[in-house]
Amino acid sequence: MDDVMPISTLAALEHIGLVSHGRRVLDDVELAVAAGETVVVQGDNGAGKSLLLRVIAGLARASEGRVRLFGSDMSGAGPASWAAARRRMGIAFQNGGLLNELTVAENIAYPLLMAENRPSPRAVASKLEHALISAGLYRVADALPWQLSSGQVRLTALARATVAEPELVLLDDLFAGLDDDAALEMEQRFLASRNPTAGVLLLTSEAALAERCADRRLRLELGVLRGP
Amino acid sequence: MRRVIQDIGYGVYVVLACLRLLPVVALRPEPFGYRRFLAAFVEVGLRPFPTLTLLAALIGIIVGVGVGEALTVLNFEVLLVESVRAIVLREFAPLLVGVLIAGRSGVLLTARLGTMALAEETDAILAMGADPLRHAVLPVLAAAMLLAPLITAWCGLTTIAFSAVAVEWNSNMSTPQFLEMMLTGDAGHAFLYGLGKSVVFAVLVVATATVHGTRLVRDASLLPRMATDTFTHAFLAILGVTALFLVLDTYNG
Repeated sequence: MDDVMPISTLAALEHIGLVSHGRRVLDDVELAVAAGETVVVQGDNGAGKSLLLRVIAGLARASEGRVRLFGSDMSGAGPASWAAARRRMGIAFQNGGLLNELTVAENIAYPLLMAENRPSPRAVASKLEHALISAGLYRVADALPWQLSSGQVRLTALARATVAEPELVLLDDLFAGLDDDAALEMEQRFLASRNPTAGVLLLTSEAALAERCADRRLRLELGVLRGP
Repeated sequence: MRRVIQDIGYGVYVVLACLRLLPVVALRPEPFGYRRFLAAFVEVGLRPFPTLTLLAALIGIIVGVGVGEALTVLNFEVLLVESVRAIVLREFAPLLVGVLIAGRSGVLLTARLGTMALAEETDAILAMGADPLRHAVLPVLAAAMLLAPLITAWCGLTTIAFSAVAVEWNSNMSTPQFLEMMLTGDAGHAFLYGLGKSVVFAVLVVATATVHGTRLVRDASLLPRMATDTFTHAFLAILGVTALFLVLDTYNG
């Protein structure tokens, strides 16, 4: 891979390898996500999808290779640089990762309130209302995470990941384990809410979903990334 | 041994990082941070209050009965009361508060940090560019540092009040007489010394709880062990610091 990252490339993994507990879980992974494209990485359970997301987000450290985000090499980046890069991303975890003591509305508003240039309260309220309506969560805006169904938890996670209109969206198997109706609703909400200029990395175990959503499809098999 | 040194190092880092964050948070509060601070305030100060008051009163009665019995046999009133004052205000009150904070707030903080890691809340906080220490630990540390001296003062005064009543029951010394002897001399110094110690204990407990709580990443079965370890290690740290204070006091005369 060239040393200079194309200007539209938001995230790039270069020869990423990761050994955990003596087992190689990611092996020479090369991946780039450009602005405006949806890259889908499909893989079975245990293929290393979540770990891949954690490496991109700096939540897990690769044993080899380097991560570049928004044009910067993140090797050796400190917590402040990672935090700044993460504020430009929206990340939804497989189990939601909702903050337990906050309501649905507060969870969704959190990234807006964490932004470097915090929007005005009116702007926050307006974006929040829009996010709640488009995610179909208006009715449960005041509910706490434990009061939600599994589908609603993931919709909240999706809304939280996209509400601040991040440049890069990382979604970790949000559709797994949902019934057909809930998965379809989630997919529609995802497609409707996505910012056309944002890059999206969708990690999933669902082949049909990968087919429908992807601009580019890749397969992750036992830590090795291959073509479709 | 290496693990212990690493844990102590991380505990020191947690405390310094939190103290450095205090003015930052005051200028730019964390989203919904006031709510976590209030919850910590209730947990550290209000919930244990009845238990603490009862314990302090019972210990006051036990001490008072002992002092009363000693007074009927010995005629060392001043020496005896001064000893009780030093023990209650300088040692016992901060120790009791430290142990209670370790048993309640410390264990709770470890459990909270552990469940946050297991439920991907910690990852989500990091993913939003926030700081889990600032989010979860700082409110507890701030509440503990603020409340520990207050509840230590309450605990010390309650113990003295009840011991005064018990002394009157059990000897010829009246309650006003006992209180007068108890609260004169170096009582103010002993009182402030105890309050200062309670802040140190509160910081120790929060650091210990954070070290254990952040050790849990994926293994839920470790949670009960970590919670128990928080209490025992915090207790050990409190006793260790108490011993250190005594050594330093002796050294300084």
